[in-house]
Amino acid sequence: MTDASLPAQMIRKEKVKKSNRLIEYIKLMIKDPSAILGLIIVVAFLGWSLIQGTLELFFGTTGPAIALLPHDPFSYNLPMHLHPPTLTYIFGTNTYGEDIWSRMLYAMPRDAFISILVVLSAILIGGILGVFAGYRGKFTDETVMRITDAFLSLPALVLVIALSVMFDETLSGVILALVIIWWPIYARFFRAQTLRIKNLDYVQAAKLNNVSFTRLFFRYLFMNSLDPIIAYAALDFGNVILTYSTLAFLGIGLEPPIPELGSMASNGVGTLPTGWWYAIFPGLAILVIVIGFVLVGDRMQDIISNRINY
Amino acid sequence: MDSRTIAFIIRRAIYAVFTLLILIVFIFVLIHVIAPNPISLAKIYSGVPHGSLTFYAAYAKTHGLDAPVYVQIFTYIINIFKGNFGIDPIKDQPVITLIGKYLPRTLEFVLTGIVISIILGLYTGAYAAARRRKPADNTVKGFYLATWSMPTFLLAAVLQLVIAYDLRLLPAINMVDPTLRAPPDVLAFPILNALWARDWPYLISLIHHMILPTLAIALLSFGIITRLTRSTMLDVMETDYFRLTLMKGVPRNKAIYSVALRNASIPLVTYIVLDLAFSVAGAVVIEEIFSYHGIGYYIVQAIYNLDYPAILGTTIIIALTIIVANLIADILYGVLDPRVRLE
Amino acid sequence: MLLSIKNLNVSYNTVAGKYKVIDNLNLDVEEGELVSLVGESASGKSTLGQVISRMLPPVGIATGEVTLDSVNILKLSEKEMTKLRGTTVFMIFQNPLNSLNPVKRVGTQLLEALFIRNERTRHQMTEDDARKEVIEAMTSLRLPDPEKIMLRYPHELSGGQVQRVVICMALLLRPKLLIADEPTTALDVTIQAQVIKLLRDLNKQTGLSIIFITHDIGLAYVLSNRMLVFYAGRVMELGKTTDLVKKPMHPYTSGLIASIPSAPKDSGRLYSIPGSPPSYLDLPNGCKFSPRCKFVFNKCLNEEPNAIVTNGREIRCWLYE
Ligand SMILES: Nc1ncnc2c1ncn2[C@@H]1O[C@H](COP(=O)(O)OP(=O)(O)OP(=O)(O)O)[C@@H](O)[C@H]1O
Ligand SMILES: [Mg+2]
Repeated sequence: MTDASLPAQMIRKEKVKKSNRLIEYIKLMIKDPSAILGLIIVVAFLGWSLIQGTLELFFGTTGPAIALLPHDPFSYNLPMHLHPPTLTYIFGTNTYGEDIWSRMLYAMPRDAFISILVVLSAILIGGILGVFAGYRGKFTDETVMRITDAFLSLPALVLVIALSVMFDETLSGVILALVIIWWPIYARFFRAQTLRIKNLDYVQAAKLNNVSFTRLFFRYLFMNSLDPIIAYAALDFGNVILTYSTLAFLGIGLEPPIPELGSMASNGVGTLPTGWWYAIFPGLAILVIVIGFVLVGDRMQDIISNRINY
Repeated sequence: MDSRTIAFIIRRAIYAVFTLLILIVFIFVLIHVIAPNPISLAKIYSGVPHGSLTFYAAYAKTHGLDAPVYVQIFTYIINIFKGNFGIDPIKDQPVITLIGKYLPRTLEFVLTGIVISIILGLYTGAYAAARRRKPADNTVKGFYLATWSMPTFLLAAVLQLVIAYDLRLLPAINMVDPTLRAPPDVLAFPILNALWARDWPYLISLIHHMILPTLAIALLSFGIITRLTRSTMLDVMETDYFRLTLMKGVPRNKAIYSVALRNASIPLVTYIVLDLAFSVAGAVVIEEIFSYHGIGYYIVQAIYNLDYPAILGTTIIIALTIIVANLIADILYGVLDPRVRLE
Repeated sequence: MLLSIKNLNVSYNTVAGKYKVIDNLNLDVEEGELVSLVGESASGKSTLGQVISRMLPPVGIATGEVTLDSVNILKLSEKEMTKLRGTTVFMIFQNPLNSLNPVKRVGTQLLEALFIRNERTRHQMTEDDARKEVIEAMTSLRLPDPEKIMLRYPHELSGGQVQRVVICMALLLRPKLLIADEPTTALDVTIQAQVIKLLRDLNKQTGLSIIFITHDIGLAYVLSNRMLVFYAGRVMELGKTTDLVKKPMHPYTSGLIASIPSAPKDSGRLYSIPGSPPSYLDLPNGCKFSPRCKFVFNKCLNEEPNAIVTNGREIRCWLYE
């Protein structure tokens, strides 16, 4: 490469392409009806979680934190216990007579928070290890990949159970445990991506241009590997919610009075024969949210693998 | 089998051993992070949560928990390879014996469920891919999205409620009719034991009780396998070699179910192993719902009782199962795909 | 008449929009004819080939009439079309590198082709004879060690070898119409000449019709009786190969011929047509070639010329109207 200005040009071109691509991406997303449905679900879920979550963060369980909800999610009303759905209690009440719909709304931010935290941490850890392994190759690669294999062979749920018991079953223990089992798959993705792009022109150009290692690592390798991984991650939020709900069913990781969708559904399992709505509605909420994420992720996958046309 | 394939298998086997070692070290480190001194270590290994200080001190001494870390890790690894996972304090039996008793029960229905879902999933996935964007494809997609996105416990509980309690078609709980006497344990797997002893009533009762958990597992992994099959099939159907097969005059259906499915099954092998790991986890929940006394039940009991030897033991044994399954998948991969052997 | 195309229009319906790649094309191919299809990249050559073999991807939509062996194939069901593929029409796709099934041995795939032919012609053949015929076909393509290659997997062959295996498949199927989409790109010059000669011999001996797609006018000149010059999905000029090359009428054809490296005039300097082919999403108004044409005048910019026939040649240019 004799022309010194060439690499710089290439770098600029990359940037322009990125911002255009985002718009292009969104345009392509909304051309598919099922992807629109998925987007609506995801945006509603995340949007609500953001608003309600902020309120809960500042006001806990009282006052403004429950102002947006149709009923007080914590008001015991024993005469009304396990009441089937009516116009006032659209999803019925639980064994304490608490409004299930209000409790579901109150619970959503927790599920959003857990899934986002787990997936993002997994991307960060998996990304750093995976890019490093792919970039360095040889011995580093072998070592990192064997470690990844070891973690991948741990049955997710069993390890989470084991770990969260050891970490005293608190929410943070469960999240930590989830992150520990969640990163390896991302490490594999990032490694494969890095192997693919590390020899491409613009990465080579950046190297020749003496771009610093951290910059090369994050801006060139990490960021450019992200595309297909984001598609998987979109769908993975749903997986975290599902796994977390399973843990809740086994009685791990929740602080009893605070509702969470998985724990609500699992508490209701015992009363399925007498009050199906107690388990079914929170369960359906999980179902809808997970499907929303899957639809969005599937569409992203289609766009990336160029299978959009037909 | 040529020498390349054998070399490939040997290398994969060595990988598997390394993977297992790393895993054991990780668990060892984890225990030592949680329990940094001999007394708290004794608390974990002894499985006695509320013992006296002198008891723990004595336990630590007899079990070498005050030895230097490198000695301890060495003993730990040796113990694991010997199958020595300690004594379950609640049942007062070696953990390995209990795992040997419970794991086959779980494998029995999990493997059956997975085999069913693989057969169905491969077929429906290919079927949907062949009819991309048509109503049949969307129906398949809707169905697997629903079974996959539902929390496992809810899926199992609804199955139990409808089929066992409402329709009374099948037993709701237990692994076998509790009034029946179990045949002698010769072959570890209850079904095989019953066959061995020609105890037909027991066998029928076993199968009767197994249907619902198996169905739950099958539904659980059906979605994953269908979805993966569908998308890999679509990838293959866009390749040049698939198009050339059609160009030659091979009928489309034949091309789909021989050429495309055959090629798509290669990457699927790896995923099916991941699915096994996933299903073992699902089994924990399913056994809880159906009161099916397999390894999942054992794990849940261990968690409620804070029975660390049992938790650690089952974690390692299940991971080992997965590693072995992975090894088998790798070998299968090499057999199925001539390109891998080149590596 | 083996192939007769009338008013063919082909569009691709993509996310970026729907665009027409072939516009109102008419073409007849007699039995035993060698027709070459030349034009710059993206002019729609492969698309046309895929229409004739009905191998367009699902996004491609073809309307009009494509009569092959006296049936309109655009109206056939997939099942009926399957019976024509292989033995009536066969297309060697561009880039044959990934054209072979990676998990089956090369020999198996070649035998499969032969069996399809035998099945269609109700011809009985022993396993041994079939093997012999495959080996013969491979030898005629100068594939070294045919027996060994038959036992290999596609990834164990070189690009040129894969290309010849695919051509070999065509020999075994003996279609009435062979569409060869740049079949010699991965071959070195000597083997390329060999393959071209083989195709010509086949044509002479068996009456096989060939549509030969290439952007190498030199090759087209050696091989074909008739030549079709394609630009932006339109036939610009169509006529006898020798006439067309010696006396090109359309400015685009002359441009193409002038850019052959060995062309006698301007020796030493390589000519290339200025500008680049238009995007299908934004085609010029009048003649599609007008922005790059030396002889462009007002009418060219506003009105698209129709194809007219002069001196036994079909041409689409205002200069000759
Ligand atoms: N599957 C497809 N989807 C969308 N557009 C397509 C598809 N295949 C081809 N096209 C478009 O149709 C036009 C013609 O393509 P075609 O492959 O027929 O050109 P070609 O003449 O064979 O070019 P080349 O010489 O490069 O092979 C191009 O603009 C191309 O982008
Ligand atoms: Mg082409």
